[in-house]
Amino acid sequence: MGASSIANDVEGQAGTETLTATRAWRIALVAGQLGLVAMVVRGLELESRGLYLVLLLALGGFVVNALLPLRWRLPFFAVLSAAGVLVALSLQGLWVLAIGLALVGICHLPVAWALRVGILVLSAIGLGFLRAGAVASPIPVTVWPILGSMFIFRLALYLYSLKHEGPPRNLWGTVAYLFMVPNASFPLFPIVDYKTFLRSHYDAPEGPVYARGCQWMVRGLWHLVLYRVIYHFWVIDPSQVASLSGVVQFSMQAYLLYLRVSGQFHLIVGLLHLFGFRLPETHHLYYLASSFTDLWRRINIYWKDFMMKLVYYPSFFRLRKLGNRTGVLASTAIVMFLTWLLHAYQKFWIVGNDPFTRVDTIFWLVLGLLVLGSTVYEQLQPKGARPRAGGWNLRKALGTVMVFGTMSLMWTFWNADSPGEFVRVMSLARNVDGAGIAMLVALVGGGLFVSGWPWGAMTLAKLEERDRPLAADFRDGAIRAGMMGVMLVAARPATHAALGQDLGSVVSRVTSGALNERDRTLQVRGYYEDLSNSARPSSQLWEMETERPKDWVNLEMTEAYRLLDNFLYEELHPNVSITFKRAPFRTNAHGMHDRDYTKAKPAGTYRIAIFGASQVLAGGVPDDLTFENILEDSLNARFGRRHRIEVLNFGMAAASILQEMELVRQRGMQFDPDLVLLTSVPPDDMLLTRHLWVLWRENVPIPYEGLRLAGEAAGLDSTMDKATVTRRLFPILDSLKRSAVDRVDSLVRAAGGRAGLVLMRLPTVPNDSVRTIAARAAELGWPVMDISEPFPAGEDEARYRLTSFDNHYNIEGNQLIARALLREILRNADHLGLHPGPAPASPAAPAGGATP
Amino acid sequence: MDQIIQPVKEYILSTYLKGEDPSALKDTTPLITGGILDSLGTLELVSFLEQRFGIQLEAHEVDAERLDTLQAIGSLVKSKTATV
Repeated sequence: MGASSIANDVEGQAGTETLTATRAWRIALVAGQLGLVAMVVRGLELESRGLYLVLLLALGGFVVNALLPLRWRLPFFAVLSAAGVLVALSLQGLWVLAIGLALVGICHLPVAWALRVGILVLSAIGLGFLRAGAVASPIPVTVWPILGSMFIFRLALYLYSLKHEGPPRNLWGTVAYLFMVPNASFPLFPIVDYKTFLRSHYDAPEGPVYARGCQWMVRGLWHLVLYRVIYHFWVIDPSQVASLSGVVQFSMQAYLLYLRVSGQFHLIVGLLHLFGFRLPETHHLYYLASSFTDLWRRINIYWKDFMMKLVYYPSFFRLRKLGNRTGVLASTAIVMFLTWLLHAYQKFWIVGNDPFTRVDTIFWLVLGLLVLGSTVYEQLQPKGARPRAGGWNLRKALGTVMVFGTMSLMWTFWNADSPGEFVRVMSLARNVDGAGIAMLVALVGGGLFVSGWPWGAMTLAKLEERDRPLAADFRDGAIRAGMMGVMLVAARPATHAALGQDLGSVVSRVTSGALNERDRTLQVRGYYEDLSNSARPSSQLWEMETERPKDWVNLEMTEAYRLLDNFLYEELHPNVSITFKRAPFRTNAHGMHDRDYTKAKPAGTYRIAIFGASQVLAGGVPDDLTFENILEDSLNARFGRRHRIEVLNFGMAAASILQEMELVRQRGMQFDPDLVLLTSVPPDDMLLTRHLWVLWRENVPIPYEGLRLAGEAAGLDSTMDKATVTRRLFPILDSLKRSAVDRVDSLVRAAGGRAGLVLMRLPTVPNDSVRTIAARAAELGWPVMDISEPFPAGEDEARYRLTSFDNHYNIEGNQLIARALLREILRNADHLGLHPGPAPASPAAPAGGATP
Repeated sequence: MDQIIQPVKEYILSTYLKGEDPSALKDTTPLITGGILDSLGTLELVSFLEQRFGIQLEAHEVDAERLDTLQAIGSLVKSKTATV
């Protein structure tokens, strides 16, 4: 029977159209649970806001769908899915719909099947050029990952079905399948089989199908919550690993973080169940796999099924003349090889650049060999007995611990910056510590104990799909509602406050969508370095980065930037006018992102020279609207009768405190500033270690003997990776910061000026740096101006950043910090030698409306 | 139909469900989607069907639609033997 005929043979499912009291209760129960799922997604900031909106759409859609006659449900789901694309992506979704429908059109061209495949391949190549940015296109960058997740694999299954089953009777099933809600909210989506999708549509009593859908959605929420726990409290950076305990922790994190994918897939397939699609499970107790072939069958089951259908079975049928065993082994090898290629292909559509890395290649090669070995082993085993409910089994337990341990290591390797970094971190296990031994014993012992039991053992009776009593729906629905209620209560700020500082903070992090410490650092680091082929971020940060358009480059990629061969290491080209982060960016004759100034200070002028990293540089906002220009205007409005105020911007992307110091020495003092303002922004440690790492890597002469000797004592050399340099420098970072502040103090005092410190942070980046610099500045009697919390109470900080993938201040943010800094300067005016003159007759409004 | 289903049922019980109660394996029990047959098991079933009933299956016919239940297998074999 063809898929199309199955799709159209859904009528006659007795009892699924008539609205009896039982059905009405059931629909209400499911709708209630779906509503709670949506509230949890919003309350815990799970995934994207687009998902929340799509769930709301699905909630209304579920009720309508359940009340419609069966023959109208598939067309309704098709329309709902198309609407879901627009809800999740707004008008950008039109690109997805247009390109998608064009691809479907090609599939149905009245030409030979092979020719249609050829045209599709050419279309994919053309779209690939657009995706890679090789050809300019108006298609927004956020469209590609979703387009890829909808079409690159599902279209292959659709074509396969067209070839073997013939065209569908109508296109409702096609639209429903290719655009299926909630795909537009997920760049990673299970590869649902076309035939299974249509065949399973209301092919069984709806009660158990809806119940399973709710069950899987709530299970998905738990996976996502567990992922958050791992993400915030287990994940460490390679530079933090120093001993066996760190190695054990680091080795497990990448594999455990896969919970996010299984959580997403449970949510997706659970939701599809609520529209009558009785699809198979996507993941099944995969951490308890007892062999590599067992893992292959349990983890991302839809991928396995996809490869079976399109690669494994066709390969086997061609190769079985060589003998069944050879055919199986050769087909398995082909599947593993293509799995590597297709993962790279998928990655290309998500990130848009070269997806092939050495680490990927080695990972898939090793995994392929393990699966092949496991296949051979299984072929040699006597078959027959299925896992049965019963006692603990040592062989199963040992197998599970072995597979989990191996996969943890492999996943860690897969997520490592490079094979060298993996080896370096693993080699630190030689530093055996008590905590490491205890962790290993607990993990292996606990793992053996837990995994030896027959989890998930299925009886034949359980495999029968039977209708279920309404009472069971009420009972299970109440349990699930209770679980989601706990999640919602946990997400409330009042709960965090009631739980006290420590526990409240833990629950707050688990129930919010904030990045963890490592990702925050990586995100900031990403403003200065190309991380595309190193320092792998989590999937959460990775998704944010995929929204970054191709023209949103780091400063070092622009003509405004140049490298130096001295301690300062980098600077801005003078007299450059470019577009940077989609805003005008002009440098003056002295290489400052600022207005024009003479080197000699004009008489009667009070000069403030401000030093710092990208938050001071202020790229991404028009030149006149940087906070230091707004501040200059505001100060002149306030003090203009007495002093002419100049604020000189010595900001440079990624400047560490040592670079600020050097810039004061080499350049800043030439401008005879009355006030030198250093700035400190978290994570200042990262900026400092980056600076020192590049100095040592490039063999730049170090003019400061103390620093040179400290580096030698730490064993630094030009071959070391950044993580090693960071780890070795960690013990001396605070003393380096203090020395930098001391040196600036000496320089400024010697010139008869004053110095101050400004504490800042970027919007949505927590203020969690240890403020060594502030402590030293205060000891020296500097005014410490803390403007790290400039945000109006109750306002979303995200409003003040450039974009979701770039946390630097936007125009409003620059106005905000200009006002905050002005307040601090006024508070310290006497100390700074600033004296207001008579009020101007008509006060000039500062540019950007930053009236204090 | 029973002449097809019965030997297949015996094959599955003796090969993959040793020790199970034969009456628990119904004509509608899901074999592939229920996890009784994995990929290797499915291919072995294909070989069994081809040898036992003298039919030839194509790669695209190896799927849950045609092989998931004894009933479906019976229909598949019947359609194939009718055309042999």
